[in-house]
Amino acid sequence: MLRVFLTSIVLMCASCARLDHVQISDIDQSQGPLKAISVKVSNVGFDAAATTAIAADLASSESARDNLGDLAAILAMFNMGPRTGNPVYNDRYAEGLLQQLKQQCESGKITAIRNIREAKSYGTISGEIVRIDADCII
Amino acid sequence: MKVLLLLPFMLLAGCTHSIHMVHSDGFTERLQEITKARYVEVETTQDVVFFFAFDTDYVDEAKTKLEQACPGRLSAVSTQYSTSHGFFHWTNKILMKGMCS
Repeated sequence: MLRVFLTSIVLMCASCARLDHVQISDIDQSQGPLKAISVKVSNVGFDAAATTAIAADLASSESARDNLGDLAAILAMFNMGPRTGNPVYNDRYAEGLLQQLKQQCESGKITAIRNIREAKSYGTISGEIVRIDADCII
Repeated sequence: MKVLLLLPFMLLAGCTHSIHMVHSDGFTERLQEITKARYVEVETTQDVVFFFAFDTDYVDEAKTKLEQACPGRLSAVSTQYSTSHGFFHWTNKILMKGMCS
């Protein structure tokens, strides 16, 4: 019991930041002072196949290990395709970014837009993040 | 019993997505021009079945559709590239949005 508790604590603390993509646009410092603005949206990523594969490795009985191994293979087949990080269950979570960015800048003039795709990864669970940092020309 | 246990996993697994990239650019107009602007959005997809890709011009198609949706000036154009996963197939998606003035 103590071993499970200690393992859980270690797993909870062992998160990693992951950077997938960064891109920066034109920077205009000629029109006035700049104010930093930022918008971040995120969604829970979960790799069901990898989780099941880990469960199969940890299973004590041979039959459970076989069944979980089969399940992991089936789940992988149902989730085929390229992926950045863990899969999410909503592909429209990053849609309101432009409006949110515009709301933060009263002048409407935004420069030095940094598009960042990153994640906080906890193994098979992660927070998949889309972030836009920019400067508002005041 | 096994089927009952498998079913929720299958339902959960059949609708996953992955957003690879979101890029936005070009907030250059003054506020007056932006408030008058109209919001346009287009989406094109590419189906890939058993690693065979169809519709390989879907990105160009999105750009053409966006231009058709706004014959005037397009600004603050954003592009989202994502994939919806499936059973031995997946769908790549390009979502382009912009302000039309």
